[in-house]
Amino acid sequence: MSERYSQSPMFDLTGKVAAITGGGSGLGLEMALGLARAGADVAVIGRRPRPIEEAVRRINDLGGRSFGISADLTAGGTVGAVFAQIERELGPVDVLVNNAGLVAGQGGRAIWDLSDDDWRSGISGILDPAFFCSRAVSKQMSDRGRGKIINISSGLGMRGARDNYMYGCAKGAIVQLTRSLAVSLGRYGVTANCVVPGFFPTEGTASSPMALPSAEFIPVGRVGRPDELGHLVTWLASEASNYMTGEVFVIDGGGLAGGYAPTGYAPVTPHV
Amino acid sequence: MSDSPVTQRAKPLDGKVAILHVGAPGWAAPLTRALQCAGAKVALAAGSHEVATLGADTGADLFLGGPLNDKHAISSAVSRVEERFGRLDILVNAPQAELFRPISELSDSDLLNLFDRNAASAFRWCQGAGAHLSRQPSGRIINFISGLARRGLSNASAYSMTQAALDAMTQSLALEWAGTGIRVNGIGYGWTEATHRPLEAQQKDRLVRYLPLRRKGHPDDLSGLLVYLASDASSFITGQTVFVDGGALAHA
Repeated sequence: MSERYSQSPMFDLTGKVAAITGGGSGLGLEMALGLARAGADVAVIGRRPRPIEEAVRRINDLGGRSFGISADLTAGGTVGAVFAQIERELGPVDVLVNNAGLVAGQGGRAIWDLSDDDWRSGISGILDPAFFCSRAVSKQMSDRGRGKIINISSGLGMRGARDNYMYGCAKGAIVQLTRSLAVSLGRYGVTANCVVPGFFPTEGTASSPMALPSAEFIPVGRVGRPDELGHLVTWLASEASNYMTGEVFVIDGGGLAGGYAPTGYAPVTPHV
Repeated sequence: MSDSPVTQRAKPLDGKVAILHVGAPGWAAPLTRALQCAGAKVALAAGSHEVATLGADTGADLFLGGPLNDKHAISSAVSRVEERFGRLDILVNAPQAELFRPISELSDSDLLNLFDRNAASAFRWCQGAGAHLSRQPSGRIINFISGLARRGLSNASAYSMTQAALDAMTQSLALEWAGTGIRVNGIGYGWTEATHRPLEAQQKDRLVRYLPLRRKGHPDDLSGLLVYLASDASSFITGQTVFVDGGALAHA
């Protein structure tokens, strides 16, 4: 699939610089590889140095330039310097993918068991990096008259889930951040869109209390393949999506189309 | 404050006259009762033969017969209401014909009949009542709309189309008639049964255990919103479909 993308000039990201937060592992890594396969130079931002180094190596193997940087993106003061360094290494960022967001320790607890700090750190762990990174790139994107911000939300940002507070609230806020960015930056040629992934297996979800549901609870009967998410992000990063902004793109095997009854429930009106 | 529709002592729909166009037999009596308890006179129009058979048993102040399927029949029914009560303030459309079948087993005429009963019938009643409603300072139309207007369900392809059509008509008509003072809103309902089934029996259903409030709705659950949207308490609300569904649409 990705080879076909890069053969189409519409999907070609050659010469573009993409930066992805949380790009060292899980879905972030898959998206980073997808962007690299389409020809982009990719800056990988994350917390842990080792997965970032590995991601950079894999991107280089694909023939692209890559730069890895380890940073705490919840510290607003340092985020500007991170992007300044990326610009020195690869050039100004054309595509920002706001993917970083803590998943571990988020769900499965009753509201009365959550402390002030649980709440604040849970929200800021997801929302702060997206806001700080968008702030860091939006001025240069606006000055250059082009740029694409792609935010990664979640199905849980659109629907409620039991004993899930910080993750759902912050992911819902990501959707709204997308709309604010789109409406504010559209006049400068900068677009912002949001991806809502359903259930994709990653290292993160494997270690999280929010276990993946059994495939029978997903309308198409399976969880997502990580490369499928890479295709979507590549499309959103490409010229093919230039007129799309402020939108929410759901990739979930039909999950959000339902939710009105248990999966597979199919009433039949008796013949009269 | 004394004339605020929320704080006043009089019933919220005192002196108002409503047409209730309803298709599901179990819904006619509770919806009629809700409007009457709030002070309105209710003229019942059957949206189906089942309701027509019930006739006067629903306790309505006037029974218009039905199903009334053409413009002229509806227009003369609306005139009857005005002759009898002197005015028309409220139109409620609750046509609710259900048909759940795999798409491969649905014929053209199944689809068109269902569309006619659920969507076109409400459209025709709005057409027929619009001029009369606009003579009041604040006419209002309330359409009952299933949550399947917003969510998918297997075997509900045709049915959900008819509900989405009602939802869309509600918004467009709200804008078209905003200048006439007629407000047009929807009451969204979830899984609803007109019979009162004991909770323990309901909760044996997988579907019921899936619902956040762990029970199906009853038409009585919708009466509070019906009275509110029919009253002057909601005078700034138009073009909205508000869901009373036990949390179904909030569900992941």
